[in-house]
Amino acid sequence: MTARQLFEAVGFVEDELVEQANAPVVRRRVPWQPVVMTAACLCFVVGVAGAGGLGRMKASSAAPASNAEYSMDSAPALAAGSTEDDAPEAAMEEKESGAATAALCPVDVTDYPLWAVCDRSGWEHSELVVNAGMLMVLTDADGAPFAAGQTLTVQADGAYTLGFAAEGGAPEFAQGETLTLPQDGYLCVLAGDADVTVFVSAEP
Amino acid sequence: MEDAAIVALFWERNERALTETAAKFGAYCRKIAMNILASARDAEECENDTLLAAWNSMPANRPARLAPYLGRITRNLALDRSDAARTQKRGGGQAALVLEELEECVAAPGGVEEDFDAAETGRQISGFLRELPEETRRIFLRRYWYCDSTADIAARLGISEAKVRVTLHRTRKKMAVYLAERGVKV
Repeated sequence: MTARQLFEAVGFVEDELVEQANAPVVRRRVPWQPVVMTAACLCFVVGVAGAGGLGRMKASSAAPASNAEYSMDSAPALAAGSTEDDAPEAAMEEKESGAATAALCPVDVTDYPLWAVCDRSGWEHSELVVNAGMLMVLTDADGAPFAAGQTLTVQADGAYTLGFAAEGGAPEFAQGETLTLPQDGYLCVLAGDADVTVFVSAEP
Repeated sequence: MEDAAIVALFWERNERALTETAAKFGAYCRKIAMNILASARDAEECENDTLLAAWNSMPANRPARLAPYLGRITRNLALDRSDAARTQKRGGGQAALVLEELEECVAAPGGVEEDFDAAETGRQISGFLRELPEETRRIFLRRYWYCDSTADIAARLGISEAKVRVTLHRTRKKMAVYLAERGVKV
């Protein structure tokens, strides 16, 4: 068979399929209500998991985890020998050194469970990539994991992308829009079929 | 006017069939021809040839759906014209690119034409396409039936051109395997 013959054979594809391919494209819309409910549920689950992890972290005096590692267990740990009282300062130093050596490569969070997404993202990174999945970002009462003045920019390459921040933040944001994540809030990005990149950056 | 009414005019050998067909499907046929030939003049001539071919092929045929019927005639006529244009080293439509891509699916690229049943192979391809997700099927047919450029497909579906190319590449590979498994000599 030649390519020309194969081209002719494609011409014999059933009429119904040919007409379907010529029909106007109907964009799927993601229904808001289930998304909000799902996000709220996930917030709760991630919050509980995060609180448990923090408790374990404080009880531990293990050596600091490397910023370059993104395993499930790589949540920032206290410096060796530090006490609970000097934890905020130690954590601040850790954060600053992490920011200074920020890994600029994107983190592909595809196929990771949501709580791991939050954990793996680490926030030493300036960029996150979600491919055909969902990204959840939570903030605590201090706005952490984002430092004051940090903003998010979301870019997507295709359709079915949806993002919103809640709890006092912008209720919805469009592609390419920059927003500051609120305290006690969350950001949810549903990538659908699109590749979504979330840039985290400090305001100039 | 409904397709059935236009077909009835063809069967009555009523010349109004041509004007009605041109009014309803002229742009459709011209777009397909334009994709393949990349020449407005050639596309217009191809549209006229399509009307003539439809006139000659009916009443022997009574197509239930006129758009695919006319589109099929157009793409065949346009490809013939494209062959002639390539011989004269002119024209820059999608035909050469489409055929080049389809070469990947045949066992011996550049091989000689053998006896084969295009209609039966078309049925097998339909079966293959029905197993694909709707978007993938749409991308495949926009490319290899309508001969749209990958950029046009991307714009039409609101996706990146890279995604269109990757999807086409994967689908071609899958189709070659599918046809081979069903005994189609590719």
